[in-house]
Amino acid sequence: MMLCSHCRKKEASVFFKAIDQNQVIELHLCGDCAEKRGISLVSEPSSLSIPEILAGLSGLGVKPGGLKEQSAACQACGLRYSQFRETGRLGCNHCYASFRPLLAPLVSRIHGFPRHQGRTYRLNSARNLEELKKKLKLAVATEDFETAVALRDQIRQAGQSE
Amino acid sequence: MQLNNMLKLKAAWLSADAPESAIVLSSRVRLARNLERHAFPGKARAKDLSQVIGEIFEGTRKNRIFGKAAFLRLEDLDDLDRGLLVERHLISKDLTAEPANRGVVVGEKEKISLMINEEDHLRMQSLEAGLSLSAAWEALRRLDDELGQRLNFAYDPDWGFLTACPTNLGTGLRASCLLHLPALGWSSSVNRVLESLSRMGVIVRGLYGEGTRVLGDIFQLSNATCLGRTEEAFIDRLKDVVERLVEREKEERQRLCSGPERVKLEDSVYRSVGILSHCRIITFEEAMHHLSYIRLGIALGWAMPMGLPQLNDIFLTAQPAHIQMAAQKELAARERDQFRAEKIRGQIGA
Ligand SMILES: [Zn+2]
Ligand SMILES: [Zn+2]
Repeated sequence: MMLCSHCRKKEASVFFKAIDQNQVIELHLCGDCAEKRGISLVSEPSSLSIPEILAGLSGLGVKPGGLKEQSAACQACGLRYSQFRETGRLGCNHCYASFRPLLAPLVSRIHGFPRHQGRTYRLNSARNLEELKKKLKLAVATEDFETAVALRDQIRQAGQSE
Repeated sequence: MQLNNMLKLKAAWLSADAPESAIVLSSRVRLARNLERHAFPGKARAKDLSQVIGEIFEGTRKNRIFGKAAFLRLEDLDDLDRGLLVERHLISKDLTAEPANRGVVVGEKEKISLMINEEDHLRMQSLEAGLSLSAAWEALRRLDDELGQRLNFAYDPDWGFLTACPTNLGTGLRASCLLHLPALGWSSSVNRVLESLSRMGVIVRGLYGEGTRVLGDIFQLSNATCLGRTEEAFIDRLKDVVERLVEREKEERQRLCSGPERVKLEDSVYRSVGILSHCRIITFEEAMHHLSYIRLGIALGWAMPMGLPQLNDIFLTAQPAHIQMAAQKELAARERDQFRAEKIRGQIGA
């Protein structure tokens, strides 16, 4: 007899299955728990598990440059990178800047792309424009021309919408 | 039970008069956004969370899109109210786990809604009947434009809209459709078809009942990633996959109806009519199973005791919180099953 993976008391009669990339995730639920979960069929798909992806990345020998993983912490909210490794959740929007070199390979791995191509937001604000120009300088200095081209387009776009 | 008025309202996404509504139940698009000056909900203090609700309520109240909206704090609602919102797809189960400082805004006809302080500060959603991803996206795009002017969203030119979990980073977009695929389920080729989809950047989920049949034959398809393409590209790709699946289901229905298996299918469909017309006790799981067959019978144009709008309504109102709300009290599982049977018989007119 297979026990319900939610309450672990009653026999499982409902098998919930999610196909996620190449992985099949299964949940076994009893009738009562399934009735409650029947609803969550329409809620968010439980997406990829960050801790698992991170484990996979270090297995592949992807080494993030610059930052020391163990000691890295966000200056704005205090979250340590090791905490993110466990929970898969960042603490605040500044975490993205704090952990940028560590997060970059993860983001590419999850989405298959390194850079946002969707809607832009307030790119014409002076602060954002400053930031873009700073990044462009850095990209040119490090000979990352792909990034430089994308940044140049963004700066041009920002200039137009002003 | 403040929300029992909601039972009388028809949610727009239950309409049976929408593109491909015989197969596609609903289309939904959501965007995840966070406010720049506060830590993400998982790390924020209670005071911050309360301010976030205040700022978002304030920013949306002035918006004509939310002219007739309900602004609710979860802590002011009881368990049944919260359950009702979950069953109507307006909030997630996660939001109800910790009701303090969580909020929800429900727009007219439940087409547009906001969920506040779940994993991200703001989740905006647009829900439409049938295969209407473009319409759902169009409504959400306008809302994003308007709210984006009043609120300061966390955004990075490289990584797009910043979210608590990197899986939502970029567009913050999750588009999904609920599909009814009984014929593919019947021929059990459904697993093969669905697994092939997972290679196309689409996640498929279904509720599996005893054995191998999916509960209610309802599947949810959604985009697997959300960074690196435009919002429209993610939506178009999902739409493409859904359209293909709708075609496959239609072919399979045709094949079943013109082949030797037709009588077996008829037998199952009419047995389901019999059970729902005469049952005295029925679980949600069993009701889903029979409603699925009747839905197929309606789509095939067979003589059924109800039409698609009524069936969609039963589909929603047979859920536990709706049942208890209709009974106007909390019920134990057995009482609920009894009340559900009675209610469904009434709705069928048997
Ligand atoms: Zn259980
Ligand atoms: Zn932080």
